[in-house]
Formats: sequence, structure tokens, C-alpha cells
Amino acid sequence: MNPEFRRQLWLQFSTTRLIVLPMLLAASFIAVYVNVSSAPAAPLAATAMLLFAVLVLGMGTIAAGASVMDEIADRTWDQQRMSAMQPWAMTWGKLAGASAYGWYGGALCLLVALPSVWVAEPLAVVLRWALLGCLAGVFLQALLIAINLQLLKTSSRVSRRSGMWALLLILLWGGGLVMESLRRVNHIGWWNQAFEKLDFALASLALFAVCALVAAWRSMSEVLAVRKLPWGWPALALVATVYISGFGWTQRLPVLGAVGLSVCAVLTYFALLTEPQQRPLWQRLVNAALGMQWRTVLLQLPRWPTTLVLAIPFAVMTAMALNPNTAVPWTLSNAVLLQPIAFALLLGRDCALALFFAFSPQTRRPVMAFAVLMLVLYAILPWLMRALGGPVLAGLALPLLGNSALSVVVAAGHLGLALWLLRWRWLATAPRTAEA
Amino acid sequence: MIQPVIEVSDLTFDYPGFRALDRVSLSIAPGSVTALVGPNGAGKTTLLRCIAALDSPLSGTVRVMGLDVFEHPREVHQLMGYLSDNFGLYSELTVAQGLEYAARSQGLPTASVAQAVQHTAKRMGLSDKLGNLASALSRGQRQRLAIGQAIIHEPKVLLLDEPASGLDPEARSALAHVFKALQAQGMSLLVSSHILAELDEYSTHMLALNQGRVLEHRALAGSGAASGVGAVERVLRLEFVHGAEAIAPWLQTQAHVQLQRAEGRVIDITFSGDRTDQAALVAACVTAGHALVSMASVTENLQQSYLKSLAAERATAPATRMQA
Repeated sequence: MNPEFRRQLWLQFSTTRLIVLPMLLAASFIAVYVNVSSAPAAPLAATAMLLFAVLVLGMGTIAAGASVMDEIADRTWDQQRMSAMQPWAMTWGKLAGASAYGWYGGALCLLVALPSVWVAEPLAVVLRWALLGCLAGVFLQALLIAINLQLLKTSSRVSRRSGMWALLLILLWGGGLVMESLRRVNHIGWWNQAFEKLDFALASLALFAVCALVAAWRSMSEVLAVRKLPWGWPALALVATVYISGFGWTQRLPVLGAVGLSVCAVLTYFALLTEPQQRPLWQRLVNAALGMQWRTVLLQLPRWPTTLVLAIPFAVMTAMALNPNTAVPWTLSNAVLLQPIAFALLLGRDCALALFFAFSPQTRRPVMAFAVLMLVLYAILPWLMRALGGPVLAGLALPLLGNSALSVVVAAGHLGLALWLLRWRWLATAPRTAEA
Repeated sequence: MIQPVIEVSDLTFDYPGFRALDRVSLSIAPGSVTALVGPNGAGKTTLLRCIAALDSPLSGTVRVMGLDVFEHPREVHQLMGYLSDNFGLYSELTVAQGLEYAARSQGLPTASVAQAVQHTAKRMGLSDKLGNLASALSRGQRQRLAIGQAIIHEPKVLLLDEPASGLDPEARSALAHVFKALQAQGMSLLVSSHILAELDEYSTHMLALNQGRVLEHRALAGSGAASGVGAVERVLRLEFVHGAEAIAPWLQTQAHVQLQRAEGRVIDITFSGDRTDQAALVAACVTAGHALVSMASVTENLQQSYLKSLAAERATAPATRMQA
């Protein structure tokens, strides 16, 4: 048996806990049953599904996240990193073991819920709902493990709740979008195919769960110092692009390009700001590159350059595919579609500026400094320039606002300046030997 | 030629704005106990963490039993045990469960896990605590459990970062016995500590670091490494019944002898012969009529040696620091 899974079971299960949970659940169901005068199936099913959500999606997810963060709090992380367990074994051991008690309670709830729902619904539908709940559990638990591992890479002093907050934000944002799109229709149109709502939700959740599992495994590999070639992050960008583009409107190619560019931008910024970017890491990469050790370069490459590079073909695709006669009104969200090349160049500029702050030994909070600079570059400065000199000056500050051809030139200027600053910082912070 | 258990080559490690290790190269002999000494910030912990593949260096390589630790970290971990200076234990597991988890996670076959747990508990003096929760153990017992977890898979190399910190003298002495026993079984130990007197008890080699560089790495005089194998130079102290000054000139003419000091009835010599040569020297003293009372190896005082090295380094190279 997987040692980590076994250890988690030791922690999760005791004779008392094994007995108490079924008793509590039984008491809850009996209370519902005796308080309903007739047709208890529906309220019993609702109660069971609610308790399933609490136990699997709530308790199980928190326990899965804690299986990573507790190692830091208990100072046992080095022991785990020193073990001979491979990343996948460690990942599934934590995932399945830490959430096992939640799943134990969830299974008991399903035993009540499924027959209760079956009274009114066909068995196939009932089973699909059960599968949906289980997939949601795996997705959330794996996602929180991946988020916590990502946070650990940045700092070993992150709060246990940081990952939970990040997960809640993702759920509120993503869940809201999904619910809104599902609420109004019975069938979903995706890549010119119509899918039944529940089937589509099941397939989507299965895809998300697989992505979360891969993310958890890849993150675990990184923290266990088992380096892998950097295909995971760009693969996620491609999957997300294809998935989101399926909902797009008639002009498929520019939409695919704009969605790809947007997804790459989001993933690039996310990785850029949540991965350590100190100079020694990059010095190591430069050393490997100078030594022509390209495999070492790829094994040690941070995630964000992969999606930054992938953004370029998407930008070119968008620029070439968009019909110039198409009347697309300028809005911030449409800027990706209207100025894809300038957008990609600015993305590169921002990466260079983030490294500029990260390489400074004096900057205590490089991410915060970067965020402030972004606020200035994307909001305050264009606003000020517009007030002073109109749209032309504003376009110089934020090339996304200006004329197409000129915008690309200005954005390239921004990128060049940022790269020059980065080079200056790199040289200024190079270690020097002061031999006596 | 005997293959070193650890080979470090040109290892450089940077923290932002600070070079912690600067082109460190060394090799650790099998069966040795190496005292890793140096002032705070010398790079001791960083070196241990790089050898354990817990931190990635800027450049350089580390091989353990011939395996590159950065290429094959999980495989190397099967050959290695590591105890961090800031170790933790699974407080909600019993001693037996903690040891079992360590054994299984290091890849021990299921059939040998139970035996390994019993053997390690016995070795660490924890046999009567197997059913106790780790949280209920004393400081010394926790330390022994942590070391037990690190050695349960019988590693070839054991890295210990400040293993005796916070322990009372009795627990320290017990720990020294454990280390000696591990060395006797063929394990190579690399022990970092500030308490040099404690390292004196069991170290065969000294590796001194300062400002991220190797100050000195050698076998200690009087240690098994220095006196037990072949003709290794070592210091011997000879005590005579009568004044030593008269005997010193004769002694200097003997093979393998280099006079160091003659004072009162005691003469210190550097002796470069093997054990047979040493026996011959005793016989020569007796034959020549010099009333020899005793002849003993002078064990090197680690603290004095370290301070001497440090002072010499500071005198010769006051500013060899890498500045950001």
C-alpha cells in the first residue's frame, strides 16, 4: 500500500471516528424522516446531497489541502522530500488518504440519496448526478493540493488558509460563470455540437478533474526536485483555449487566437507572480544555456516563459485572421482581439519588469512593487496622458489604446526599454569576487 | 582506489545577494565520521541540503555513491539519511507508526518493515516506547526517533545537522554512542555541530568551512582514520622516568620520527610509521635503556584545530568574500 496513503488513513480513522460519523448521519436522516409527514424521499435526498457536499467538497477538500500545509507547520516536509516516493505516489497518497474520511461519510450519504432520488428520476440520471458530485470532489481536492504546492514554492511561510482563499476566489468566479451559462439553456452548443446540459457538465468536470490531478502531480514533482520537461503549463493553456473557444461565435479563427492569447496571458501572469524568480535561479539557467545544456535549461525553466512563447503564435493568428472590415467596438476586453501583437509585446514587457523587481536584493516585496507599477502603466499614466494631450499621448502610454500599426511600434519600444532595464539590473546584481 | 561515498565538485550556491557556497569541492571517504564545522553563516546547512538534493545549487555537481543527486534525487534518497536541524515529527503517530512510515517511504520491502522497525527501535533505545505517541516523548527521545527514521533503511550516508542541539549531557553522550555504532557498521556520517567537544568523541575527519569555502578537510590525528590504516602520520606522546631532554637527540635518529617537543619527562613526536614500526620503536627504547613509561597517540583537539585553521585563514585572506 502507498505509504503516504497508509499514514493518512492512520491519521484520519480511529474506531471512535469510524462509529461516530455513521451515527451522526443516521440521526440526521431520521430527524428529517420523522419531521416530514408524507413523501420523505425528496427531503431525504436533499439532506443527503447537502451532507455529501459538506463532507466531500468541504471537509475532504480542506483535509486534502491540509495534507500539504501541515507538513510545513509540523516541520516534516524535509522528511517527505527526502523519501524515495515518486511524485505521483505522494500526490495520490495525500489526495485519497487525507480526504478518505470525507469520502467515507460521502459514501454513506450517497447510500441514502441515490434510492431517494431514484423514486422520481431514472437510474441513469441519478448515477450521473452521483458521478458529478464525485468528480467535483476530486477536482476541488486536487486543485487545492496544486494551489498549496504552488504557494509553497513561493514561500514556506504561507498561511494554511491562503490556498483556501485562492480556491474560493476561483470557485466564485468560475462557478458563477458556469452556473449562469447553464441556467438559461437545456442544451449547450460547443464546437457546433449540441450537448445535453448534464452530460456536458459531467464531461467538463471530468476534464477539469484530470487537469487538476495533472497540476497537483506536476507541482509535487517540482517540490520533490524531480524535474520534468515543461509541457504541463502550455498543455493546460491549449486545453483551456480549445475548451473556451468552443463557446465562441462565428469567426472561429480570430476567437481561437484571442482566447489563446488571453489564456496564455492569464497563465503567464499567474506563474510569474506565484513562482520564485530570484536571480540565482536565472543565473543557473543562464549557466546551463551558456554550457549548451539545453535539456537542463528545459528541466529548470520556470512555467511562465512557456506560455509567453505560446502567446506569440496566438497573437499572430489573431492579427492575421481577423477580418479588417469587421466592426469590433473598442473595449478593454476587445483590446486582445484588436491589438493582439501589441498585447503580446506588452505581456513580454511586463514579464521583464517583474524580473527587474525580483532581481533586486533591496526590493522586499517584488510582487507588490510590480502590481503598483502595473496600476500606473495600465491606468494612472494613460489617464493622465489623455488628460494632458488626448488619445495620441494616451496611446504612447498604453499602446492598446492607439492606432494599430503605431501601437505595435510603441509596444515594441516599451518592451525594448523593459529589456534594457532588466539587463542593467542583471549586470548590477552580478556576484563579484573581491580577492585580497 | 576506494570510491568516495560523497563527491562534491565546484559547488556554488547563491542566495539573493549572498554567496553561501563558493566552488566547494570535497570527497567523503566510506566509513568516516566527518565533523562539519564553521562559524554561523559558513554554509554548513546549505552544503548538507545540497548534498541531500533539497536545494539546487547555482553550479557544480554532487554525487553520492556515484549517483548525481540532482539527476536522481529519489534514488539517492534511498542511499541517504538526513536529519535537519529543524526537524519535526508526526506527533499524532506512535513511535512504531513513525518508524514504519519512514521504512515504507524509503522503499523497504513490506516483508522486512516489521523487523526494521524493531531493530531500529532497539538501536535507538526506543523499544519500550513503540506504542507511545511522538508528542509524548522527551527531547532526547524525539531526537533519537528522528535519527531512527533517517537510518531505518540502512543508508550508506547519514547527514546530520546539529543533531545534539538542545540535548542534555546524558542524551548527548548516548547520541555519541549511537554515531560510533553506526560508523562501526560501515555508515559514513557527515555531522554539522557547534558543539565541537561533542564531535571530538567520534569524528575521524574535520571539514571546516568559512564564508562558503573549504578552509580545511583532513583526517584528525588520533582518529581511526589517522592511526588505524597503514603509515599515516600522527602525533605520539612518550613519557620517560628520567629527563626527556637527554633522550631527545637519540630519539630523533630513529626511523619515522620527527621531534616536536621535549619538556620535563615528556617528548611529543610526529611518527610516520605503521603499527609494526611503532612496536619496533618501543622495543628500541627498551633496548637502548631508556626507561619508557608510556607511549600514546595524542588525539587532536577539534576545537583547537578548528580555531587555529580559522585564525590562519583570517590572517592570510581577510577579504575573499563574494559580494553581491
